[in-house]
Amino acid sequence: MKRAIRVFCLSLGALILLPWSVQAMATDRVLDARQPGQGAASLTEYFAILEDPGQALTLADVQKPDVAARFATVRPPAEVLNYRSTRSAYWLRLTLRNASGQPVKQMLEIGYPLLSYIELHQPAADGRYQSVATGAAKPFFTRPYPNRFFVFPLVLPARSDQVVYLRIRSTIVMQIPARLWEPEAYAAMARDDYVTQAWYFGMVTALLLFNLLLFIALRDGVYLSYVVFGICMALTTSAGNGWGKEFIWPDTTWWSDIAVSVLGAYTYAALLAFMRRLLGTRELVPRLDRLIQAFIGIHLLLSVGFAVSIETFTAPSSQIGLATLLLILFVGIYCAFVKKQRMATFFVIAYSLWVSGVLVVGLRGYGVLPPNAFTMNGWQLGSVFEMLLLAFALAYRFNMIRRKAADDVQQANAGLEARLQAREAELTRSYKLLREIELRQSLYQERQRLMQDMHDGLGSSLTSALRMAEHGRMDKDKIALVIRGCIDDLKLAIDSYEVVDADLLLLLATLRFRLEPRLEGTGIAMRWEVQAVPPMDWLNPRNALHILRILQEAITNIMRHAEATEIRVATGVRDGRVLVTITDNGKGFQVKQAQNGNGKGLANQMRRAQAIGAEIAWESGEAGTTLTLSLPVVFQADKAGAALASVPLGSLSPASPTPWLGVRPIVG
Amino acid sequence: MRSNTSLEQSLIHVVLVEDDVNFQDALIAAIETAPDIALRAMASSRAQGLRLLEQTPADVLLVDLGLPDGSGIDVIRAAHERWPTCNIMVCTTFGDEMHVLQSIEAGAAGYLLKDSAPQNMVNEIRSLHGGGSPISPQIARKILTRFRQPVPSGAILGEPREPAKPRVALSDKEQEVLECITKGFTSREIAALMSVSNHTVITFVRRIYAKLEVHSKTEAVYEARNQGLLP
Repeated sequence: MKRAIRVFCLSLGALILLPWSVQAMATDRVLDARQPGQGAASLTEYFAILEDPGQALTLADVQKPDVAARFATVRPPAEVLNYRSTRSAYWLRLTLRNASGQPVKQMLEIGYPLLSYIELHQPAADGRYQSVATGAAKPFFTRPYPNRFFVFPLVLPARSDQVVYLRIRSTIVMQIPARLWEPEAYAAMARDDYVTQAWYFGMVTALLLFNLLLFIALRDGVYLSYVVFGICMALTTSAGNGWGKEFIWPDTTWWSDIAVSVLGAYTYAALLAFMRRLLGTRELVPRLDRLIQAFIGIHLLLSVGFAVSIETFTAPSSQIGLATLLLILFVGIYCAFVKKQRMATFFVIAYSLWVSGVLVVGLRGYGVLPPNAFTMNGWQLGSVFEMLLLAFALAYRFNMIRRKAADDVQQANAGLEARLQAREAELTRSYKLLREIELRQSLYQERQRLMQDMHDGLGSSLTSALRMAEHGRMDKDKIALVIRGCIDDLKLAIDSYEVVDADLLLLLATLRFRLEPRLEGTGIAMRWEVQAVPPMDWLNPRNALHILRILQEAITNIMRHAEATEIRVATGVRDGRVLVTITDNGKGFQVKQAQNGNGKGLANQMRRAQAIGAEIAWESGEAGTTLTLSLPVVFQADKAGAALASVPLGSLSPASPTPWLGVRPIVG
Repeated sequence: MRSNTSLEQSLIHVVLVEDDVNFQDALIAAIETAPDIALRAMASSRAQGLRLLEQTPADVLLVDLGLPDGSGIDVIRAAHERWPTCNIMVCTTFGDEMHVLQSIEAGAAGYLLKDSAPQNMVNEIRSLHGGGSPISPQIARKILTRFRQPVPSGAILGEPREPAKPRVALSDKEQEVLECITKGFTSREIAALMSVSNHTVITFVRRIYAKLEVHSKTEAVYEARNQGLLP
């Protein structure tokens, strides 16, 4: 990731950065190590520097006058020496003076943990040089002072000038922010620094654990990719700032030298993968998504390349890194502002925060910004804010998904409701159709019934009356009688339409009400001895008319032929059947003869009885005749003569008519 | 003169509103046979009928429903209001219950079948004038149904919980009379069954008709209130 810093600084501030160069000075500046009030002093301007491209010079070589004369000093004074990805070894010569009468302890700090090899050569009391060799590519224990940076404790004897040599060589990037510290000040600074770092890693760990738990709970891949990205980011940070070397892989040499590059490549890949999932680029921007996938592949390949040859791949990785950063920025901005994706807005803000952190660190590295708590920890700050914001974005995303799910449910419900309504409408339609068919059928049956009835009764009576009147064989009274009979027939037909509500007695009452006026003046008395009978649901108009006609015929026959003085009408229940008996005290007749003979009356009654599943019987003697009509309580189709009789007309009528409000067929 | 006046007073004055000439003739012929009945006026349209109501009240008003310029129901309703003492009869062909009941609700006290024998017509007019009312089993059944519905939940237990709805109820005796009629018993048989006079049974019917009229009015008010047409 430090490469990224450099790349960014290059791309954004090339003009500022280019003039940086090392200029030679004739004589070394001497640093008085005991200047009053001094906590830390930058050593850059005090260094005399020699580049050793061949990496072959030894301490003895650089002390030789001809080589020593080639040392040059830095101008203008800058905080950090920056040689970028140089292959050369650099020799730094530093003259420290202690003018006081006491030996002075100082700390020499090189605040850049990625330098592969650092040698410090310091003269001992006898004037011979003692050497310390450490660096990122050496185990941690080689460091004379345990710190994430390279710190060398120095003791300056009283009233002396000491010439210290540093030899530095780096595999990746060479920056040399060197400072001299008073030991107490350095300890205080180091303590603060470690607190800051601990904060950073603590926060990152908490965020990662939390999102890991979210992943376990929600099984949403985006949380896992966030965690993977976070881990890569944190490890890269630790590799970049020396924590990894100090705490995670202190004894490694090869790995700790390339860790930041390899982990950086993984971080890029993880960030790209996370972005793909978070923004849903596969659906949103399919062509960019393929580019993103290609970049993920390149970074994974790069990580292998670093392991094979760090020197070969460091330079191209800078360009790839820059391209990646710009790609991410472009995708984020495109999704946020063109595709209007809220998620992408969050992402761009978070990403920008981190990039600014990187930028700050980069600018500090090139001396544009002063090294302070903010610029020193810009990376961590940016990174932690990025991760926080991304976590917030994930929460927002969760909320969005939940809302969408709720919407989906609502939509599904709406769809379901619409389907239900459609189905209902369809049912209503088919029900209506069915009812229309039933209605037509019932109307047809009614028509048949009425036509049959009129043909048999009214029609034949009127025809015979007409014929008799035409031939003058009938007097006025007789014609009136026939017509009165016709009207009675008609009235009964109309009565059969009235709702009788399964009430047989009401039907009988209606019959009596119609026929009673004709009994008046005949000298025949009516004995009405009806008793309650169970309701008979099959009493629809058609069946009711059959019953009315059977009984009408019976009473008319008595009036015409029996010479009776009394008719007794009774009802009763026997063996689960309802009995209607009509008894007269007239002269009686030969039942068998009447049934087989020319009398159409009995045959008609029997036919009608058969049609409604009833039984009819006559008992006749000298004391009179008894007609017994035995009716079923429940209609049984198989016992009824006519198939049509099985259709209860009442159930076919459009609605059970309320006599007062509903539409009821009125005949007459 | 005096005897003439008393005869005049005891006469049953009939007014007929009917456009059917045959029935007019039949009624005129029937009334001619009855010395105690006099046809005072005849109208053959709704408008004429309503104008007749401005004259002195008659004893019996016969109204046909199917008048050429409107329904006889209007005439019945107006007569019930202007001639409160007059007995109104609706003329009907087959005693068709629907129209008879509408007429009763408008204030009629009976009905006359147009195909009745002349003697029966005269008898019906006398009976109506005497406070009786004809009834058929079908009409009885419909009145019973009418008073039974709608049934509020409390009414079954005998304690109506709907005080907002004024209900006209049939008395037990009236109920019993109606039930007997639906079973086919004549007024004479019912009188014997209930141990009352035939006349009592006939006046029961008249009372029931009056209740039906009130019932229909309260129903109308209740409905109007329900629909917000009345306060």
